[in-house]
Amino acid sequence: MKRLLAGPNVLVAAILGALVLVGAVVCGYRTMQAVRLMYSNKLDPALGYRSNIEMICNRNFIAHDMFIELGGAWARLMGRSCVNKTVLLPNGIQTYLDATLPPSDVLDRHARSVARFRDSLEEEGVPYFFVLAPYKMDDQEKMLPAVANHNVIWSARHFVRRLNEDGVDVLHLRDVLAQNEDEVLKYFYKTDHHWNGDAIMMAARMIDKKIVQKLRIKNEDFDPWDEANWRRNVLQDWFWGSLGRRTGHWFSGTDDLIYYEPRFETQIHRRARN
Amino acid sequence: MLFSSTVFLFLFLPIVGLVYYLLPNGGGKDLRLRNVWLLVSSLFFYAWGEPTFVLMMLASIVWNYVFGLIVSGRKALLAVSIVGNVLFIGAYKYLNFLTANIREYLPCAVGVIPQTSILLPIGISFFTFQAMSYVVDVYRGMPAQRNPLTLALYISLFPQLVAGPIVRYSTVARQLAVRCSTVGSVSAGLIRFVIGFNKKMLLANPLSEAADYAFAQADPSGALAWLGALCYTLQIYFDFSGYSDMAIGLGKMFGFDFMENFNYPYIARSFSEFWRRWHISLGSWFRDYVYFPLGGSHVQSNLVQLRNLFVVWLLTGVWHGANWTFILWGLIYGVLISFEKISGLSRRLEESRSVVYQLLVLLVVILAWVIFRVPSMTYAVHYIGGMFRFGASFMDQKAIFWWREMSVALCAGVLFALPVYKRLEQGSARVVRLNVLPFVQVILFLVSVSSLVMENHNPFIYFSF
Repeated sequence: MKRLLAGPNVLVAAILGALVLVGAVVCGYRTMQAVRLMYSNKLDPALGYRSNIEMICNRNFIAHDMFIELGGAWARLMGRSCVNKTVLLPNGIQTYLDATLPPSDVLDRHARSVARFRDSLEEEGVPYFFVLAPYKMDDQEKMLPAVANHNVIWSARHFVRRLNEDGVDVLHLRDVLAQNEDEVLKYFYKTDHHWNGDAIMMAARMIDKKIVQKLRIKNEDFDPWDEANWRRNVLQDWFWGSLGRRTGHWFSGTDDLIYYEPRFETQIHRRARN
Repeated sequence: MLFSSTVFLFLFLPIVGLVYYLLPNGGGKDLRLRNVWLLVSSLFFYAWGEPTFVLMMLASIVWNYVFGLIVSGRKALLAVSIVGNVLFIGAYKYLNFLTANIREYLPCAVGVIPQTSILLPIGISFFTFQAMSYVVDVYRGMPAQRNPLTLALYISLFPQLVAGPIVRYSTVARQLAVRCSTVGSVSAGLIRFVIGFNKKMLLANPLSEAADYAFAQADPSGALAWLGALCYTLQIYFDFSGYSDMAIGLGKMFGFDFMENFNYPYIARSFSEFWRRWHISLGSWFRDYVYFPLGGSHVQSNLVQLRNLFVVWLLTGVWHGANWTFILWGLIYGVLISFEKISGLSRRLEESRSVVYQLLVLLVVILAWVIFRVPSMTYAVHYIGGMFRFGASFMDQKAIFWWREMSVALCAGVLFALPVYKRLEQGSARVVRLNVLPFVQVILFLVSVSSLVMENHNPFIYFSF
């Protein structure tokens, strides 16, 4: 054994061989899993055996997260800001390098459909308003690299404009959440395209306010949106969004997870007509 | 199947390797079982990409096996065999190009000649050239291989099947019958494989991002065009030399010694020297099987030598692909090397160590890679013109972004395209050479695997040839 390991090349090769063998066991298991899934029609048959096996081996690779971390750390070392189809902006926000919504004619068609739906509801005497979920990028678009292909901002604004032209009442949450752009970052995860607990709370309050206004419901004594009725919990460095999972936390960092707990009894009633 | 895929690295290779070494070998003298196993593995390796093309490769093997048995000393049979091989490669590789050009330049042929759309079998140029070299070697007096399975193994051996190096039958004929592997040789092979894998994953792939972006632009700024050209120059080197390292390493792991394919081509002092350092197996193939039979440089007139060089470089261009850009690329080298050879300049320059000419060689090589990379001659002119369009629009935001993004990869690429690592290995203390550098490769191997897991863009350039 001593003689065998005397040449460091042999020792290194032994380490490499061991790594490959561990990988082999995992990939072998994943391959069997892929074949089983294909037989039970849970995988896309159009991809064929080979592509499905390759996909499953890659996505479920041993220590997958560790390798993603390593890849992200390497990208940092190499001075990269674009990794795995995402880009890290100078302010620490991560977003997709390419994010495109349908072209304007499709958006116009959608807007007209919304207006027709509003009309049909109003004929029934049901009030209607449209809630546009908030999107992360806006003024930060200026920080996007010139090679990025984003039209989300433009598309969202265009869609709201068309809805307004058709007289649809729009609650544009992006505008409601943040009056100034610096403020908006606190409502979104750095490592995800989703809004966080604070944004959800704010949005829920705004939507409720709008419903109360539309349905002319009388305010009761109890105000569920009073801050005193909620406990805000923050789990430090606890959340890793879908963007972060593509690059590892050494590249993108982690987010705090925010969630609210009601301090009052909650009960949900659903009552169907007839 | 790609060498740089989890399926190859963690399924195919360990299974093939384990079974191979479990099979008896009669002390390295009775390799029948191991050879059959390698052959079956190689056919499976090839079939993974496109199963139907295996039949086509088997047809090529049968054709060359039969001619190998009867060709010895018979010129007419050699000609038939070569014509068959050329027609075979021509049909798959050049027929689409041929019909497209006939239809474009002879409008009257549009109704007569249909536009063909034939899929290119992967690695066809490599294994056809290997097969041809076998028949020519047998014609020249080498004993024919009587065992069809052994010949099939030579042509289809998976390490070098799809992107070389182009292995001569004379190089491996003995190894096909008798070879032994030691722990040391398998280890050295594995480490060589990992070095190639790291070159591909950590240098070629990142550089390809900027190159692909620049070459996809309709009108790139000057700075972006230069970056694209530089990145492609380095990408193609690390991609192809990385593949060759992997092939040579895999060969060692199974007891074969393949020829080296690269020797730091970008430090060449002349165009002739560049081609002695770049894709050595192809250059020497054309030298031995085309240039020398035509008379080489031992001819009475410069005109005949020029003709010989023209034929070789035209074929070199055509070998790379069915496009006018490849033909032009080959002919540019033909003209430059002819000039150097006829004027006797190449020897003088290599001896004089002229830095100015060395830089000029590098510049022309970079510009030639642009022609090699672009889809059409028109775009080649446009792209190269853009590189020299200095002015206010030379540097734009896209160029700034990519130059910043690629800065470290470019520096690393330039550093490792020079013989720095080799000198580091040679110049460092034994303890560093044997203990530190191989471990660095292991760490880099893990980083490379992380790139695989991230499912990054990963094709080999030379798979298209």
